[in-house]
Amino acid sequence: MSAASPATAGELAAQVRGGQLRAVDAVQAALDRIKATEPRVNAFTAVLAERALKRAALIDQHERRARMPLAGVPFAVKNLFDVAGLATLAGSKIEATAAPAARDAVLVRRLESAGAVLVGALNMDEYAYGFTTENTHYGPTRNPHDPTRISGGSSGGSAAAVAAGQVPLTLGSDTNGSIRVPASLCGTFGLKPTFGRLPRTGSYPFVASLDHLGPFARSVADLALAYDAMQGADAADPACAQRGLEPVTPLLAQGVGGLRIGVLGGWFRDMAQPEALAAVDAVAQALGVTRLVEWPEVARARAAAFLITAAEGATLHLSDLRTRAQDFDPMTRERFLANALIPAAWLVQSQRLRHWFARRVAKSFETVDLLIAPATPCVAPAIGTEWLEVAGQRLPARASMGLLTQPVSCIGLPVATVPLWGLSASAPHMPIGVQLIAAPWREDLCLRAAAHLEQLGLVHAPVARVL
Amino acid sequence: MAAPTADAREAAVRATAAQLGLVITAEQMPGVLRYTGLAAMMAEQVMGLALTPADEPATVFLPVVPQGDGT
Repeated sequence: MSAASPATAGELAAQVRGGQLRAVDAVQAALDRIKATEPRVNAFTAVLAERALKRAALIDQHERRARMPLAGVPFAVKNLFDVAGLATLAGSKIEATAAPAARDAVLVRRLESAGAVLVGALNMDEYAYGFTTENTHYGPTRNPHDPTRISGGSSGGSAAAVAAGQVPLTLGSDTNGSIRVPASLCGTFGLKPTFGRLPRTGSYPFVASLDHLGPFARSVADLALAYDAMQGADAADPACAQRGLEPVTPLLAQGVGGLRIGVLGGWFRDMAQPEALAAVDAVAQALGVTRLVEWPEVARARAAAFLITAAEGATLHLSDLRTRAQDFDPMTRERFLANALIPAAWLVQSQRLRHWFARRVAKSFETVDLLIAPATPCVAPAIGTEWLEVAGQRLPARASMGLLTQPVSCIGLPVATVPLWGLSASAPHMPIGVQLIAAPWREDLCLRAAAHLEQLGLVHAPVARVL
Repeated sequence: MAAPTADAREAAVRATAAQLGLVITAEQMPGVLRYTGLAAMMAEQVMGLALTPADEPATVFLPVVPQGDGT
């Protein structure tokens, strides 16, 4: 395999560790691919060629290179991660004039300690408030599998960069579905770990009560490699749990034998279009699952996530809403303004309901180890789509992309998203994702099941033909 | 509880915005009213579930220990 053909992170790292490939060449190949494909994708808001090539040269000389799990692997991060020397945009125009970050975010530092090389920052919905990455300031990120369609969001650049083969690994954030939605729509693997698992230190917040960070990749092994490299407590993030390392890479080959698996019913089937149901049914069949599990009051839990997001998100930006509302993206401005007015009782009751819901869902995990649900109601719609038909209702398309992810992140459960293909009658070239959901701290089960499905050939993440 | 009229909703938006120091322009008002309406629909769902005093919010405060405190 040449450095010019997009490889997985694990393949690249093995070649760099073994001396068959220089990190500098791996990084240069990624930079060349980014340059060639960006006009059609628009995933990047900054490309850090000089920094990346310097760092790659250090890896090539590094005494620990042969032991680095991500040696020479180019990666990129959603532009809400701090990158030393860059203003942390978080998708906004407002932050473009903020002071540059003094140092990299903790997760960037951890990946670079494992040998990976940061090559750039990626597009997103403004302040992570969206599911489409139709960013007015920086342009929409286009779906590499069909550039007329959305990439999903808010980590749209992170999913598109992986799907386009620009880099094998990216990081994003997920507050209500912002890793799982774009992973579903762009046909990549994605991992939203348990709330509190990975430190958010050095990332621009959206909703502190709900924010998670996690990786995108084209293989389950790559997700696991990145996840393992990023684990560990960090006192600077008060939500980060004081847990030891629980590596999943050694467990991936264990398969699903002995696991009790169910399909989530009710809301999770009612709010899904035929291609999303077909994807779940294909995964269930492959895993031999016939059991249906229903969680209580899912619609109310989703409403709680909506209100917590609205109130906390708007309060964070209250000062700018007062003094420079005109500088917000028109896609977010009036939502933020409206959300700043939410009564305290709605927010507090939402947080109480969230706890109530988490306790009931925990009960369901006493008899099941893993649950399956669609990640999005449908495949990626066209850029600019305003309305979506779901369950016989005409719903706003942009908010509805998170209907099936919000109730899960609301209670912080770990989820791996896996991509399936050819299930939409009207768009057979488009992927759709399935969520593999486990009890808190059981990322290993999500990733074991994902690896098993990948091994069966049911789920895969090919590089889009963007050139 | 009867749903507020459109005029009452707009008046409530203006009053709360003023309290927070927010200016909502005439151009922004239709969008703001649409989204406050959406939030109200979500609130109807959230407020419609009977909870008990034992159902605490899912927010937990962690006291901050001074650096260098070995206790």
